[in-house]
Amino acid sequence: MTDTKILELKNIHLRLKSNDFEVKILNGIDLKVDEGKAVAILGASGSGKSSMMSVMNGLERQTEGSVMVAGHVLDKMNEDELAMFRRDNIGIILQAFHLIPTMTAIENVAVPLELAGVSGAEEKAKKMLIDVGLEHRMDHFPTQLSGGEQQRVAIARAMAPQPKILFADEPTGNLDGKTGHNIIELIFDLKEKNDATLILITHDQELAEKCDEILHIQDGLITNNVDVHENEGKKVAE
Amino acid sequence: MVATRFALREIRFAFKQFRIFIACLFLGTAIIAAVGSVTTNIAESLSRDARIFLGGDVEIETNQRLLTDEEMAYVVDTAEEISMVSELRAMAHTEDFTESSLIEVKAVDDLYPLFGVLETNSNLPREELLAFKDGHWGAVPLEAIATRLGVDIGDKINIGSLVYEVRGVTAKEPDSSNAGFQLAPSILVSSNSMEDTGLITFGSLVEYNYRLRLADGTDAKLYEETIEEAFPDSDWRVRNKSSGGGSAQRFIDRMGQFMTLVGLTALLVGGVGVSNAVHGYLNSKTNTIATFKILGAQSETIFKIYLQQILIMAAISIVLGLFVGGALPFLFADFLESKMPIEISREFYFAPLAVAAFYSILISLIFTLWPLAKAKNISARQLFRIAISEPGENNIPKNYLITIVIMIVMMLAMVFYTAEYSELTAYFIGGMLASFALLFGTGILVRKGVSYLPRRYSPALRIALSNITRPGNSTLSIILSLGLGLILLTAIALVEFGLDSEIERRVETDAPSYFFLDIQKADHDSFKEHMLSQEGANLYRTVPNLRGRISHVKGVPSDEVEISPEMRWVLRGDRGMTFTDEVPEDNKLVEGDWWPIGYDGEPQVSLSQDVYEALGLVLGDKITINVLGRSFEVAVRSVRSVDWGTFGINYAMMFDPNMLSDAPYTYVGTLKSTPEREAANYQAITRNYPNVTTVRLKEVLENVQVLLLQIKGAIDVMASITIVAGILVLSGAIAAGHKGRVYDSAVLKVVGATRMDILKAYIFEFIILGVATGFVAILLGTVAAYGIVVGIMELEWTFSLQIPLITVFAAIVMTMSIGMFSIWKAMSVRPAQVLRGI
Repeated sequence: MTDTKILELKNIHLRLKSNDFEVKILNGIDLKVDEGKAVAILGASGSGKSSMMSVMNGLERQTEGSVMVAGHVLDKMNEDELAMFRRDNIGIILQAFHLIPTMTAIENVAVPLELAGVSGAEEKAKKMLIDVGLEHRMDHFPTQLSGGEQQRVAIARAMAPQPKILFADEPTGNLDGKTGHNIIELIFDLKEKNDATLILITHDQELAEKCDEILHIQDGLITNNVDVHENEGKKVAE
Repeated sequence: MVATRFALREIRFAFKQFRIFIACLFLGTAIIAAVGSVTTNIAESLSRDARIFLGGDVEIETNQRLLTDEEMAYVVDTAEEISMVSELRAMAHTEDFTESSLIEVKAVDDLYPLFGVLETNSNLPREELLAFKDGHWGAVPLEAIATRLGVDIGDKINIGSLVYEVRGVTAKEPDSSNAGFQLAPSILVSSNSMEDTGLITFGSLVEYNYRLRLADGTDAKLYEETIEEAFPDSDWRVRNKSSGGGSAQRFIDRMGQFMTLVGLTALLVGGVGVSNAVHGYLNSKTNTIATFKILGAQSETIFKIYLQQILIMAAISIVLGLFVGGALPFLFADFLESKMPIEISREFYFAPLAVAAFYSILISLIFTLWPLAKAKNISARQLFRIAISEPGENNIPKNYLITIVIMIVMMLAMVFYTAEYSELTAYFIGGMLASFALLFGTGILVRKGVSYLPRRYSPALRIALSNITRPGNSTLSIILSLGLGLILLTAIALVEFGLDSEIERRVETDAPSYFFLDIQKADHDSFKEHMLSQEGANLYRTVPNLRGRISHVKGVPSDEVEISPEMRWVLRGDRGMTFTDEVPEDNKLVEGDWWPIGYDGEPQVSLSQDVYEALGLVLGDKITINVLGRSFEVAVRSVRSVDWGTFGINYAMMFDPNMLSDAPYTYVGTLKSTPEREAANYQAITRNYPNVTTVRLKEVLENVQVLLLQIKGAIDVMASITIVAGILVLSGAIAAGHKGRVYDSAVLKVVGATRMDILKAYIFEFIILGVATGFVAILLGTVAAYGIVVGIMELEWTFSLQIPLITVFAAIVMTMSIGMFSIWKAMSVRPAQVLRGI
C-alpha cells in the first residue's frame, strides 16, 4: 500500500442559494485519501455526505476551498473539462442506477468507453458484463432487468474505463438485503482487481467497516475519522 | 461519430414522442411542395404547349384594323402559314329572340386551329362545322352559351343580321387560355360569314389575331424582335410562344405565390408544434443527459446527439412531405384539367421540392436550436435534484442566437427572392410575424394576468387558473397554435364579407341594369329615344368610346417605361378612352383644371390619379397615344380621382373633344331599370337593336361570382390547412400536459373532488384560453382585413359581428373538443391506479 494522496480536500465550504435563502451544506472540510484505499462516509440524511462526494467528483463546485483528485485541481475547470476529467479518471455508481433507458445493457456499459474513444468498446463492455455475471442479459434494456441486475450494469459501466477512483453513493439503497450484499461483494472485488480507490457513502455501519477508513459527517463537517485497520479513532481538528 | 452512434441508439424509442413533430413538419412541407409542384407543372405545361395556347409560333394582334399591305407582305414573306382569328363582343339570340346572351364572337378561317385540335361534341369534320350549308353558316358555341340559350345541334341562333345553325358544342378550344378572363363565353363561326352579320362596321371593337406558323427551327422570340424592328411605329401587339402563358400564367403565379405564403403560415404554426415536441422530448431526457455528463460527455457531444436525432426525424418528415406534395399534381391533375383548358403535365420537379425542403429544414432548426442549446447545458447535478441556480447557467450562448437570426434572414431572403409581388409578400410576412409576436405577448399576458386573479370563488376555477399558470403549462402553445389560423380565417372571412357587401351595396344603389356597347353614331339618337320610352327605365347615359394605346411616355417607348407590376395594364395593349367637354359627375379633379368648352388648342388629356402616379408624370408632361394607327402627342392637363369600384362608365384617359371627335367611334351607354321590368326591357332592347351589345349587370356579376367562388374556394382550403396544423399543435400541447392532468385528477379525488368538479375545472381552463385566443384573433384578423379592404382594395369598410363571434366560438370548441380526450381520461382514472405508479 502506497501513501500517495489521490484525493485532497482543503477547507471545503459549500453554500447553496435557493431564492432568498442561503443554505450552508459543507462548512470547512479537510481530507486526504491515499491511493488504493477504501473510504466509507457515514452520516445522517442531510449531513452533507452526498454533497461532499459531489464536490470530490466534480459534479458540484465548492464555494470556497480547493479540490485535488488524481493529480488534477478541479477548482477552475469548466463543465466540459470536468466531464473529461470524470471520463478519464473516475467511475460513479448511484443509488438509483441511472442507466440510459433507451440503450441495452451492453450499450450502457460501452458509453464511457466510446466517449473516451477507446477502441473495441463493445468487446470490453461485454467482458465487463461477464465479470459482473450478466452475460445472459447483454441485449436487455434497463426496464427488462431487475434492480440488482440494473445496479450490476451500472457497476460494470463505472468500472469499464478502469477508473482510478470509484465513487459509490448508497449503491445498495434501492436493493433488498441479499442482493445488496452481492453488489457490495462485487464492488469490492472489482476495486481490488483494478487496484482502484473507493469512496463509498452508506448508512450501514457493518458495510462501512469493510473499508479502510470511515468518515463520520455531521452538519457539513467530518467529525470523526477512523482507520479501521488500526482500530483507533481520533478527533479531527476543526 | 460517437454522437451519431448514441443518437441512433436513442432514436429507437423516440418515434412516439416525435409524432406531432413529424406531423407538423410533414404537413407544412407537403403543402409548400404541393403548391410549388402544381404551379410548376402548370407552368411547364403552358410552356410545352405554348404555341397551342397562343394559337401560333407568333401572334400579331391589331385592333379595329387589318394589317397594312406592307405589314402583310412582310408576314407572308417570312412565315410558313398565316391563320387569322377575329374577335368581337356581340349578342346571340335564339331564333325567336326569347333568349339572349352576351358572347365573344370568334371568327376563324379554314386553317384554324393552326396548332392543337378543336374538340366538339359533333361528328362532323372540322371543315363542315362552320361552313355555309343548306342556307346557313355553322356556329359552334361553348357549353355555357348553349345552356343559357337552351340550344343544341340543329337549332338556329341569331348573331347580328345572320341566322346561324348550331353544328356542335365546343368541348375544348385549344387556344382558349390565350384570351385570359372573358366576360362572355366564345362562339366559333367562319370569318367568311362575318361580313353578312353587319357587326363589323367602322369603329367596331374588333380584335384581329394573325397567328403565324414559322419554318422549323426559326427562333420565335428573334422573329418577334425582328418584326418589331422592321415596323417600329406599328400599333400592333406581337407575342411569341416563349413569352409564357400570358394572363393564365400571371394568374397561376399570383395564386401560387399567395398559397405558398399561406403554406408558410402553416409551417410556422407547425414550428410551434416542432418546438413543443422537442422541448417535451428533451425534458424527458434530462436524466439521460445528466448521466451522459457524469460519464464524461461534453456539452458539444450532448448537442450533437440530440441535434442528429432531430435532424433524422426532420428528414423523415420532410422526405414524406416532399413525396406527398410532389405526388399531388399526379392526383389532382384530372381535377385541375376540368377547371383549366390545358393538359397538365404530371412530373416531379426538383426546384419546388428543394424550396419546400429549404423552408422546412430552416423552420425545424429555428424552432429547435433554442431548446437544444438549453439541453446541452443541463448539469450532471440534475441527477441529485439539487435546486440551485448558478447565474448565467441557463443563458443561451450568443452564437446560437446569431445562428437563429441568420436562419430567419435566410428564410425571408428566399421568400422575397421567389416572390414576384414583393409588396404583397412584405405585407403578408409582416402581418404574420406581427401576429406571432402579439400572440406570444398575449400568452405571457394571460399567464401573468391569471396569476393575479383572486382564487377564492370556486375550487374548479382555482384549479383552472392554476393549470394556466403552473410550471410546464401549455398556455403559450395553445394560444400560438390556434391563434395564427384563426387570425387568417377571420381576416379572410371579413375580406370576403366586405367584398360581397360592397358588390351588393353598389348594385342596390347606383349600379345600372344594363351596359350597351357598340352603339353606332347613326343609331345614337333613335336608340336613346327607344331606351327612355321603356317603362321603368331611367338614368340613361352614353359616352363616346374609342380604343387606343399609350405608345410613349415622355418620349420613352412604353415597353421601356418602368412601372409597378400592378399598374402595367395601362401600357399593355389597347385601352378604352373617351372625350368630353365636362368633368364626369362621379369623378373629382385633384390637380389641374378642365379644358374650356370649345377648346381647340393642342391635344390634352385628363388622367385618373392612379395612372398619373404610376407613370410618374407631372402636369404638362406629354404622352403619345396611338388611335387606329394615328399617333397623337398629348399634354396632361388634369388629374381625376376615379372610383373604379362603381359600375358606372369610367376612363383612365379622357381627351379634349377637339382632338378625337373626328375619329371613328361608337358609343357605350348605361341604363337603370326597375327590378320588375328588368327582364322585359332586356328582351325589348335586344329584339329591336340586335347589333347593339347589351350586357346585363346580373349576368356579369354571375360570371364574376363564379370566378370569385373558385378563388375563394382555393383560399379557404389553404386557410383550413393552417387550422389543421394548429389543431395538430394544439393536440400536441394538450397531450404534453396529459400526464399532469391525470395525476392532478387522482390527487384531487383523494382529497374529495367529484368528477363534476374536475370537469368544471378543465372546462373553465379551455374557455379562458379559447376566449383569449379568439379575442386576439378577432382583433388582429380585423386589423388585417381592414388593411386589405380599405388600404389595398380601396373599398368601404364593412364589419360583421357574426364573424368574430363565430371565431371565438370556434376557438373554444376546438380547444374543448381536443382537450376532451385528455379530460375524459383524467376524470375516469382510478386514484389508486395512478398513485401506485408514483
